[in-house]
Amino acid sequence: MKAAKKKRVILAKVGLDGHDNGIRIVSKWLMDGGYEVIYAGLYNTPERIIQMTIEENADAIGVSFLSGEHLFYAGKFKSLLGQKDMGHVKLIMGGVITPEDVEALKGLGVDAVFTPGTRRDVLLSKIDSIM
Amino acid sequence: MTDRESIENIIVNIRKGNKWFASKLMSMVEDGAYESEECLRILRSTPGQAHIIGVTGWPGVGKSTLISRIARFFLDKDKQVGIIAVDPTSPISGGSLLGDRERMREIDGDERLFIRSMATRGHAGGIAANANAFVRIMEAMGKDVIIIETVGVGQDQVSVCYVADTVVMTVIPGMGDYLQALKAGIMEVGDVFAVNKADKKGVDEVVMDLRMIIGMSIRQNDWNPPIVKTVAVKGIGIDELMARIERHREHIAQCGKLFSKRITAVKLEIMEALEARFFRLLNEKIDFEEKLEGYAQQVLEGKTDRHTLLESIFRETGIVQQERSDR
Ligand SMILES: Nc1nc2c(ncn2[C@@H]2O[C@H](COP(=O)(O)OP(=O)(O)O)[C@@H](O)[C@H]2O)c(=O)[nH]1
Ligand SMILES: [Mg+2]
Repeated sequence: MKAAKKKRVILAKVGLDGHDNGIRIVSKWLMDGGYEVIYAGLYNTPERIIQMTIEENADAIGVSFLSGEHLFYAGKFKSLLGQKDMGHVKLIMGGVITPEDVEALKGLGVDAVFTPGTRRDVLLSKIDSIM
Repeated sequence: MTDRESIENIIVNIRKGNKWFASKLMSMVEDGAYESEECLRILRSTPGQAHIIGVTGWPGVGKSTLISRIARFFLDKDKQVGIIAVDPTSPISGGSLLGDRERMREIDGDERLFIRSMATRGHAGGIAANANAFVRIMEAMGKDVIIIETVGVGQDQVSVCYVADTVVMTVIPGMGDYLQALKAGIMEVGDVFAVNKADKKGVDEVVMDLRMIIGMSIRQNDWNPPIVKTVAVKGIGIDELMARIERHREHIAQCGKLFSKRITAVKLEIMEALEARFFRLLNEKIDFEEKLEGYAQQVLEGKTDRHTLLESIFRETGIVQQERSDR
């Protein structure tokens, strides 16, 4: 019952893609995994998510894509986090992403990438391991 | 470790309105870091002037939507606004889903605004204490208005209401029977009643039910809680709601209730701190939580009674030196 340090994760969709089923499911998984999930919903901009991360003192940002803009946004998030001296914040990405792009994202410094069909326990243990 | 110098650094930056420092101090408070206590003491030594508004009501009545309208009202007057959105922690996983912020997207991102989501984290966390600490931090940042969203159901969440100067109890059409059953419970905390979703059928019925319940209850300080119909999604009724909220604040400032409310909130904080400290002590000294199961079995099976058990726990922890002999 002592006040324990809790990990906080912001989950959001960025850009115009209006599908949030995946990220809603992941929100539930992370909550059941003991995380404090700040659900930011659809149509966010990277700038707004960064602002939220500051206000919520989140340990990680999770964003998902359907529309193939992941490489662009990964670069964008990484540079914003760098500018604001927020290198400690983990970046997690999800969506329909080819194996080559998964590697490219990791090259850009994304901490974890999940593609459709990832199992709950796999996702959770990966996220536990990077936090 | 945070030393003297960095405590001062935190204070100076928060007073400049720096969001990073404020946010980090909030996490220190939540995680129970001792250094946060000294920061809070210093922040409190300069009394704040913010109006603290609580918005409470069942999940789904439109609190987050309403808050985003209230915040917009103040932002339009170029006021600085803070929002604390409280959601429950799952007692099973210890995790939580904090989804209020999503409903505030219309205002989210404004430089003059600071939104912080907060999980209740079980009772030993000190929910009212943490909410009150967040309020003081936001106040020190220069926020003119601080709005707290809480479900207000259950002991811990009701206690959050005591942190606010003005509590807006939010209900919706169709809740009449339920309100009848609650009666005193809601009257205790509501200073202003918002009947939200007034675009739906049954508004007049629920207003009548509320009038009756309010009429039956005894209020202190001659404040008759007003009822305002709102349609938060469309921004209807917000000006009237705001006029009532501001009137209430003037009222409690005049009659001295403002000060006594603040004292009540801090009393709660002290009680919570005591409780949390006590649990920590029990766990440190005798692994209380580990043993609880065993204790329960003994009491269940009639091997001991609660009184004898507590006496032995107190003696074991050194809280009570020995059996009292003066009886
Ligand atoms: N019809 C109607 N729906 C509303 C109104 N205010 C909020 N809602 C909707 O009610 C739902 C719950 O709103 P939310 O603000 O999240 O409620 P909370 O759980 O009390 O914070 C959302 O779908 C809102 O769009 C209103 O005045 N009229
Ligand atoms: Mg809400």
